[in-house]
Amino acid sequence: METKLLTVLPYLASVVLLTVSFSVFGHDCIKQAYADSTVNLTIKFANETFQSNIINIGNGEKYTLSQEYSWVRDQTSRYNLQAYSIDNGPYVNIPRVARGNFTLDVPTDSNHEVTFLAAIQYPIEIVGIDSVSFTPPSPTNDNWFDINSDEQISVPYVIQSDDKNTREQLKGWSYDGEDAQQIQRLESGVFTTPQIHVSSSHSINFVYSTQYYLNLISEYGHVTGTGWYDSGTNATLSSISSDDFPIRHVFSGWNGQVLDQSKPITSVVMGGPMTITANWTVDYTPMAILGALVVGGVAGFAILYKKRRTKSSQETLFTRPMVSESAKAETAPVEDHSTVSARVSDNAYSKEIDDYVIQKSIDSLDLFEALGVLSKEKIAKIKENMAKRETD
Amino acid sequence: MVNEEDLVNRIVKIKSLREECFKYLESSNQGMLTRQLIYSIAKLTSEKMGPVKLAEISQDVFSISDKSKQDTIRLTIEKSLLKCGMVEKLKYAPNDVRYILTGYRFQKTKKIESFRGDSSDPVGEVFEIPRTSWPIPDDYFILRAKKEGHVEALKKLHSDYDSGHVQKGTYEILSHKLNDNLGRLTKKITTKYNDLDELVGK
Repeated sequence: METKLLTVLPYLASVVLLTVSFSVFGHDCIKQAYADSTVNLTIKFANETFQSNIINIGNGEKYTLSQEYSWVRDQTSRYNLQAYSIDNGPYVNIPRVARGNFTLDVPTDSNHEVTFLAAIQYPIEIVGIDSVSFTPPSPTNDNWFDINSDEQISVPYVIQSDDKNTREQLKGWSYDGEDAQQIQRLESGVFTTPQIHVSSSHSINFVYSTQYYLNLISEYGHVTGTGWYDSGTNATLSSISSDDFPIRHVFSGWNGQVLDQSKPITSVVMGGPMTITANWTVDYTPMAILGALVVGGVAGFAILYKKRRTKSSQETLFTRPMVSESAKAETAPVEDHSTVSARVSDNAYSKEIDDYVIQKSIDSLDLFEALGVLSKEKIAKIKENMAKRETD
Repeated sequence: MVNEEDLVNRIVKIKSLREECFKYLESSNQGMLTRQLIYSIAKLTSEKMGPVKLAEISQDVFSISDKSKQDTIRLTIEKSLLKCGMVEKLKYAPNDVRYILTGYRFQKTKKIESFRGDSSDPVGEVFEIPRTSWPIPDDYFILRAKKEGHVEALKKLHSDYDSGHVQKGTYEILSHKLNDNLGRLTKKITTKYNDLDELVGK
């Protein structure tokens, strides 16, 4: 009986076949061969970033260890694989990847120990813009960063839309829900934040203002107001007649949704991109005046010439050496009374307008009292300052 | 230490306040010392166009400025308004400490805890300290007044020209001059006080 049992036992041992696949807390092992004895594979995580584990494997089996690249640390952070070492040897770097599994063929000739090194990472959430650049970039090519790194975020000052007449302009940014900090608005280039130390998760909000382009078209004269304006704001338009000669072009009105189409200075509410045209009429007055002056000049010259001829012949006839008083008056340069009075009138009117500007400026301060922005005392003080400045 | 630009920034930005701090502004607390101090600091800052001393606040609130009153004010500010971030303390010298409001418009916020960490949501309307107590530079009002004066003068010029009271040449010269000045004034206002003008000038 004993002899029979000893003969059967080797056969029983040789028919033990194992094909096992299992998964324990994030790492999987696949046994792909048969074994008749086992070895231990110890999996450790430096700094206790994960629970250690011991896996029993058949001696000489092919064994592939699989570990997730990232796993949750707490509500706002995660661990990310950096390197591994076998049997306390030097660490071997692992390519930094955010998602998926890292696999490693482990020798099963004897007991071994694999140690993983992982970095703590925090996210930086970006609000207000889709595309930003981080300096230095995320090691995992997403918006997660290793603890204690210092990051700078760059965004464009202006984001042009497809239609070329609408754009977004950066006007401020805020950090972790604090009040937005206003920044100087620029037409181009990139805004870069100060260094942000990564020791927790952060949220960065970039505040952009939608802007529309106001295009003013004018065939003559000079118009101002073309440019970019914030949505909903008032844009001021103005037109100035040019000094064309002898045919002048006079502003006759605006063509568009302006507040007052007839005034050279008006405004428009920027509800979208706009094109407004300044219209002009032709004024022939300078040409007519020039024509009249030429005709008048020729006629005057002819009359003068004729008078001199007559005078000369009379002097010869009566041999009078003295020039008569009337002739003196005729030859002396004469200033037309209407020209003098017009010049005096123009100067007086200019002075009147200057005084009007000062008076209306001072009066307009009372509006601020009505708006509840200025007190009576402060208005009086400012009026005094203004009056003093004008006197100086 | 505090220039005009800094003062204007304090007016323009909206300061977020937690619910327990926002109560210092509410009208139900009108008689409270904290509220009186906020309004007094605002008023005095507007008059001086700079931070104010304890003695000045004490004189304004209690009409007297002895040490016990100053201590009461200092303790009240430090225990409540400084902690809430409503008042800033500036040390000009070891014995020269002054106070200034961190903002003039406040938004009550409610704290929300979430997976991504704590955040806050605005609650209700923005509260404004009375605008007459805002430290707005005189220069801004002068520029705005001059701009208004030029706009009115242009209207008169156009009207006088339409009714034949002014000759065409004079009209053109004056129109050009007034428009030039107006452009310069508008540019200066936009450059220096754009956000302030958006807030108070419209």
